[in-house]
Amino acid sequence: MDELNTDVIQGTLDMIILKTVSWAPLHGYGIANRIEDVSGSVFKVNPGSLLTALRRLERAGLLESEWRTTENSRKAKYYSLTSAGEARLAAERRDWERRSGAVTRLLAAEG
Amino acid sequence: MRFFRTLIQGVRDWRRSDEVDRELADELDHFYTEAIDDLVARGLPLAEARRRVRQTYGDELTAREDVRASLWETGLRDLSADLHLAVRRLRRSPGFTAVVVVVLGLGIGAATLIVSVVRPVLFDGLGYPDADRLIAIEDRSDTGEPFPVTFGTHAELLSRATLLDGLAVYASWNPTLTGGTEPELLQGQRVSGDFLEVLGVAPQIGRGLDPGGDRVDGPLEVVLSHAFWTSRFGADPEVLGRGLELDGVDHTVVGVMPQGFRSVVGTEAHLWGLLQYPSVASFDGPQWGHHLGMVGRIRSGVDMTAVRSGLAAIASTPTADFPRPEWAALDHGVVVTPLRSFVTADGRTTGLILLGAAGLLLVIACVNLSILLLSRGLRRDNEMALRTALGAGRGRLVRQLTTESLLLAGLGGLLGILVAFVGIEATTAVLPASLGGLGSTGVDLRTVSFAILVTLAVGTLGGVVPALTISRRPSIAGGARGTAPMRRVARVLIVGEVALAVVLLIGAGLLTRTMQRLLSEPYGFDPGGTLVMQVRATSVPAGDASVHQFWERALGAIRDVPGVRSAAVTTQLPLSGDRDMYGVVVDGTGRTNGADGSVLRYSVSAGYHRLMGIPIREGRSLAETDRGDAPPVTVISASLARSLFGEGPAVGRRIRIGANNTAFTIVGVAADVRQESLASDVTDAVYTTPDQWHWADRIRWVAVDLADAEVLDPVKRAVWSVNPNQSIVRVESLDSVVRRSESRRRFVLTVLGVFAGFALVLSGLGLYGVLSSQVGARRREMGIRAALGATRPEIVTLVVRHGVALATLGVVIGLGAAMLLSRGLTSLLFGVSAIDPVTYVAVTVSFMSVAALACWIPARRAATVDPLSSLAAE
Repeated sequence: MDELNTDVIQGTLDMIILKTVSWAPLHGYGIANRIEDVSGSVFKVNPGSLLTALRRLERAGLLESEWRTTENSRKAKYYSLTSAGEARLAAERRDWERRSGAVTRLLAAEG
Repeated sequence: MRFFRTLIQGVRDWRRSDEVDRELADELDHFYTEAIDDLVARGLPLAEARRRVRQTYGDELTAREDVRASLWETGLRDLSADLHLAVRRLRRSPGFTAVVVVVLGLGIGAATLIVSVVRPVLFDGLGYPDADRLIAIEDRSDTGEPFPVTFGTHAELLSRATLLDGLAVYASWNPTLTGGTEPELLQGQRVSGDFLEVLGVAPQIGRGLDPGGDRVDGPLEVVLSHAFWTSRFGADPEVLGRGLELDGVDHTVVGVMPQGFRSVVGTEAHLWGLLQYPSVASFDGPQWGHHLGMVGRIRSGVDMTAVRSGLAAIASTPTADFPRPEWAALDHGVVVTPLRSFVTADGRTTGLILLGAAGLLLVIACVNLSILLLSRGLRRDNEMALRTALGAGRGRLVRQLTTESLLLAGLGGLLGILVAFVGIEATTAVLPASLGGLGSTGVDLRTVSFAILVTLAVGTLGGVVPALTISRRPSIAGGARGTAPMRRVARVLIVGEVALAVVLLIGAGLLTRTMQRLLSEPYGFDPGGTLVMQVRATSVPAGDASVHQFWERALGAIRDVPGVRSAAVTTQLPLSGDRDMYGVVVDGTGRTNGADGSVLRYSVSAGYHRLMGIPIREGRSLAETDRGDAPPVTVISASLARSLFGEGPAVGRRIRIGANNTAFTIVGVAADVRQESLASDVTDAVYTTPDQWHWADRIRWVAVDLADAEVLDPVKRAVWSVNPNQSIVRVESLDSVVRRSESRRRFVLTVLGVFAGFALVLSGLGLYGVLSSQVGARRREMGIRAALGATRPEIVTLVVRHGVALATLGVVIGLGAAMLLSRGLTSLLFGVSAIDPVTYVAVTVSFMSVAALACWIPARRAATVDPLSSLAAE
């Protein structure tokens, strides 16, 4: 195995999940797959942490879920963003941009 | 908001937990299926796809546990599973459960009771604003002993002590409420005008007492307690200005104190009136009698040391403005004590001893729980091993076992709270004054929370040691080897339990010996069948002549009652709590007994000494002929005669008692009588007839030698036939007066005795539990020994020796600990050393007998082990 760090940065998994389901309702594997694809395999999500996070977000009212049939006719639980989830995502995003910008500037700064 | 949503969702999911579990499994299943499908779709063989998925995403079961563990309700579910298991196991052994629950219940109940009882004395505040600025001030004798102050001293300090914001004096006051159908005795206090202000509590209605009213012609007014106002006046807001006839004199109600107010220096008081003394310029009168308590409020920001030295300076520099008689000259300064320590002083040691005993008992109950659980664990050894083998982690096992002990403790705690509720009334009823005096003992929310806290602590502490020990053993290998660590822990616990029980037993033993010693000590009189009652002639018309006349006629009427063999009166009764002391000097030489004012003064009728069984050592007793117009005579106690005249004759000498105007000729010497307590050595006393004393005492005790207790009512009626307005109280046999005088020691003794007995039984039980489980675990060894020809007595000896060795070690440690701890009991001991050898030997012997019995039963069982079946069992 390569030694690359593929863990999702602590505390950002929730935001990434919210963003991922904001395009369209997705099931667990779909979310994991999407995160891996979009991040160019930088991040890999294991099902334990993913489902834990999904339950947490659902209980907090940021996500809602329903069982649907997939295109290959399996039963799967689909998650979609609630309006509270949308608001949270927007807020998290602003916050992230502010902070990551600051970190980037700090790293780029010279002497 | 978010928290509540999570909570509600959790509860909802918990209630449909099977469904939630299934849903989670389905979802994970789908995740893995899709992942594998993806790989297969990219052309990997199925087996390889499965391998890769597991490598990337980990094991499906682990993932499921991860998600489950993150949900808070999962913890609850495990807990409820543990509880179910625990309940099932406890129900399977009802005998064990019952014993443990009863033991814990009694232990927790007893501890809760004790805490309720000692709380006012040890933990509660006085309930006044800035109570830490309140102090008590007492006069100091040449031996350093504190004693009551005089009104004269109060007058001087009031104007000279500048470091104090206020200074008040008080005395107890028991007026009889007259003018109604029956005379009723009230409990109150007479105080100087600013008493309530010094305590810092204002009346709820009306005003406080007139601050300048504590003089002879001051107003006759009273302030009532909230309770008295409610019971007597129905909480009538128009009560101000109403009259109250006390001892036949009209008093005006001027105020009502707020609910919950009590005077800590007179906790039974429900009304407060003014002390009204003649001018302090004259030394002759009650204004210079040592019978007042004094409280002061320190000026804000001034510390205790400054106050002490300030008052000492005043005491040592008399001024011309404030002349002092020699018996209140403050030659030895004053004693200053924070008010809180002053009112709790007596109870504090007692409270700490009781608290310590309760603590010991709880620890014993807790250790006992551990031992019993561990012993049962030894027998359940294979069950634990099986659970481990089936995959229960050690943490889970510890949790399971702790749940069981918590459940046991919880049941015990419930029983304990019940015990406390049921027992509190009976306990309060027998509480000695030093503990009960501050009032407000009771089982309330705070004591119940204490019981719950104790329950949790006992359950956790008692369970965790056996849980850790038992769960440490992972294999099913049977026999003695595997259980070695458990047996080691059990041995340590039992030694500890025995040691703690021995400490309690020693405490109880020392107090038992003290009581024996006290009751066998001569106390100077013979209670015989004598009956006593206090007659309070407080509403006889003013004037000494009418008081003398009342008493003479009352005594005559009592003596005329058929069935009365003899009757006498006295102003103070031994061991009743009375304390009336005067300064005595030898006429001419000025010699005193060395302790400023400390001579007890009794005014007694002729025949008192004979009736009380007090022997006359020299000369004669007082006689009917020693009337007011006859030459003044006195009988003194043997100890006073010794300290005034050494070996020389006392009879015929003259002494002055109290105010200096009369010289009494000593006509006899009586044996010493213990007045204050059986342990007290203050016996210096003078006796005069009431007629020859400086004034007529209204309150006297009547001692009656009755042929038959039925005569009691006629005796009371005889008093009332002379004047119906006098209250008669505290009617009891002299015998019970003697017994009650030791109520504090008796109470502590009872508590320690009960606790010690309980501890003895518990440690016997513990020893039995340990040995019988060890015998069980060593069946095979016993079988082999028997097979190799060991006789039954040999096997019995083997087991008994093992148990007795454990007990001996515990006893030795316990005796050592008791030697260190029993010093704390010293103030309650009398005539017995804290390391009294008799007690130590007796405790050792009785303990070892119990231990031997506890060992013998399992030993016999070991001896009956059949060698064949024990070996076959493996």
